[in-house]
Amino acid sequence: MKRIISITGVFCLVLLASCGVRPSGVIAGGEAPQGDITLPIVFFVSNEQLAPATRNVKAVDALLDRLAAGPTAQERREGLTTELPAGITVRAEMDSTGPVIVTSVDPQTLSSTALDQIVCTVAFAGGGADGGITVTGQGITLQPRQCGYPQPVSPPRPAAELTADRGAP
Amino acid sequence: MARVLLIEDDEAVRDGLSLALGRQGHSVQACESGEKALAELDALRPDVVVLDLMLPGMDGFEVCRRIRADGDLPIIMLTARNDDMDVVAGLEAGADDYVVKPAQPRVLEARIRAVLRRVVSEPKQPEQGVEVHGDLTIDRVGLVVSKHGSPIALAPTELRLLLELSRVPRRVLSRQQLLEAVWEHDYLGDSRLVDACVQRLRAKIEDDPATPVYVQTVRGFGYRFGPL
Amino acid sequence: MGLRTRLLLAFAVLALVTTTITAGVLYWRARTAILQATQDAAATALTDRMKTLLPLSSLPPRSRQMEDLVEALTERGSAALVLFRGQQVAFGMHPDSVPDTLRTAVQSGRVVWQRVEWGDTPMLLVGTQLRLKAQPGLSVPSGLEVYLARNLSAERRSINELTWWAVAVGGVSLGLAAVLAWLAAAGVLRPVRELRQAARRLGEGDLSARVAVRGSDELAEVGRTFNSTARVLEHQVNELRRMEADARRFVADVSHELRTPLAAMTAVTDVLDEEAGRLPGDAGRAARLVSGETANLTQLVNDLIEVTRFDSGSAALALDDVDLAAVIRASLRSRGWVDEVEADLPEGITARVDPRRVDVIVANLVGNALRHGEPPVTVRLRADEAWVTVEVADNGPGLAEDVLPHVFDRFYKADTARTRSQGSGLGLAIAWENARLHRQGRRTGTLVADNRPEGGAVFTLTLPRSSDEPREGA
Repeated sequence: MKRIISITGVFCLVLLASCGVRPSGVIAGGEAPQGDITLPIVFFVSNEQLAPATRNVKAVDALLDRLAAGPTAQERREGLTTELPAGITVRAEMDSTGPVIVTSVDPQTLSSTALDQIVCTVAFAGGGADGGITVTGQGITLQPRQCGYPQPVSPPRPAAELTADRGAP
Repeated sequence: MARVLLIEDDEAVRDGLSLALGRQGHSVQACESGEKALAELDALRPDVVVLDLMLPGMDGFEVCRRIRADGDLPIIMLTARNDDMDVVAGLEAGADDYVVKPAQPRVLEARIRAVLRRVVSEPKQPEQGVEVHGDLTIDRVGLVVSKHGSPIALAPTELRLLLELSRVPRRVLSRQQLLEAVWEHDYLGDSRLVDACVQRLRAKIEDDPATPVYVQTVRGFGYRFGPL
Repeated sequence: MGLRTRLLLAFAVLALVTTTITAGVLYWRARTAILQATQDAAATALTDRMKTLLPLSSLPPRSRQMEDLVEALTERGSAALVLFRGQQVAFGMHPDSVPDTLRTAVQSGRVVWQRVEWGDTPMLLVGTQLRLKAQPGLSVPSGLEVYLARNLSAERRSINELTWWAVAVGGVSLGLAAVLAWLAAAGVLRPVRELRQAARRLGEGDLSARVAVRGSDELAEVGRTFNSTARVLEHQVNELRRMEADARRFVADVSHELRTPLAAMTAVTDVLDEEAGRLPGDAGRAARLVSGETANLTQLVNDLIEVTRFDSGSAALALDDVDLAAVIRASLRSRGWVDEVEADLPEGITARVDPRRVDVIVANLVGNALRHGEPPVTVRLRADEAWVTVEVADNGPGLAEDVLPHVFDRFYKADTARTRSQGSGLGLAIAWENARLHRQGRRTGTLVADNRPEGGAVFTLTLPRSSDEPREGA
């Protein structure tokens, strides 16, 4: 009899605890909306991450020139920086294996972020290839690399909360 | 000494008591039934009746009532059973005293003498003669009690009880004192004798026996005469 | 814990568990559904609205577009916030309202939400990025983040209402269960109660006690067994009573039958005594023997009759207010014991007793002390408000321990070697009965036998003293 009463009591407590609308932790749902942009973009750095910026040019070389030129004054105010060294020139060429980016400096001296800036700008401009993009300069050629921007991953679901995955397409 | 009428159905008891009482000097007339005794009562003219309550035919109570209706003849009951109902009924029927069978002859003898003494005046008393208490007139010498001038027929025991009480008006006498004075019981007697006699006395002298004036009960003590 | 309580509790717990589980699960599902629907709707509204910006023409998007977005999202207690590269560009709420944890979670590239309380108001915060798509499997954050805050007050009201309903339904069913339990308990307990009452009546001596048997369940079986047991018991007890009554009546009849011949014999014992002296030799001794034994036989028969009267309940008290010292003195005097007994009898102790029965008690106690104890025999009278006490003590050897419990038994002989003592063997039994006959209200007279510390037996008679009952017939 006592056991039944205590079980009932615990049950009631659990029930009461899940009552009402209470503050919760952060719950992750579906993927964020994504879409196209009409203007080509170049990648600068904001908070140690790549950040896109639009440039109103068509050709890839022109776009790479803008990349090398760095963010505009307005964009700098908004927190954009570049890791490409000043005065660098970047060009795109095609060879049999895919696009090859030729820099005016030894690519080994470039930071990983700087290489990402170049590779992602080329990739978004439509120059991407399955084999990756090769960066070369001053006779030194690096291994082909992909635009390595981190993609959304599904976080592990919190067990206590039912979440709505289907909410966002 | 005295003429005793013994009414007893058992022959052995009758003979035994006749023998014992006879040796005490009494002249004993024995009857085996109430009817016979009543028929011969006038002829025998006994001084006292010793009456067995358990009789064939007419029972002792009825015999007692008949004798009492005729006159003031003293009656002593012989109760074969010491049943309280019998004793009370016998006393209410008018018996003056009772003795439980088997009775010691000398006990019976003592009771007979005590009853007989009630009939005669008390010589030791310096009587001043006639007393008047309200409507009652008590003549201690002539042993006559009158109410409104007309005499009341009182049985000897009733008369003695009234005399004892009225000798010391307003003084309370306990039942045991009255038993000793009236019934001459030498020790603890049956207080129901007093109560039954008081009832009979009240019925004769009181205007309303339910609210007695002459013989009053004093609860927890006994009886007293008056105050009027 | 009584059966009724246990049944009630069991029903209550059962009802509570069932109701709690049912109502609880339903409530929980309903609450989740409500919250989920709200959250889904908010997330869908947010993403749908954000998609209207697409395709983007520039970064940042034109401010006019984003103000439209905020305006579209802001409705019915909702608010929105648009950030570009961490800077607010259009807003209906302050950026500090959004917890850092949520801001961080938005960087994961998913739609995230969190319930928070703004003051007392429950809010749902939904946030996400707008991402730019390059090629399949490759997207980057555009730097644009949108947050939507939605008021959950209405949902909370609905859920609270659900709570109320769950509690109300639970309470009602609990009450219902209690009523049902009460009825069930009454149904079960009524036969039990009847059985208990019948058993108590049986225990109190009412052998005609039976229970009404209904149905054919286990309780009915118990009832039937009880009834048959009671029937057998009643029969046997009645049989025993009848046999005992027969035996008593036989003793009473024998005693009465003995009386008449004894009355005749007693009448002539005086004659025998007087003549014995004149009779020669053996005849005189025989006459004295017959006379003496006739007296003993008379005493025995009288005592037997007295005992049968106690047994038949026909012994009655003739109460009188008497001076106990006078009663005891008269009792001693009439038996010639005044010189043999040291009497300590203070005057003025009156009590309402049957003087003749007190006389019998005193005579039996003193007679017993004189016969079996050593002088001096003392009689002491004492009294307080409620009781009078008479102590009769002797200086003899006292009573043996194994005798004490039986000293008032009929015909009990302390010394088995002595076949017949002087008394009838009933004297102390009669004294004891006479003491117990004196009762006033709930107080009953007692007679107790004991040994004095200084040696010798002491019998203590205690009688209730005062009474307020009016005297009958006076």
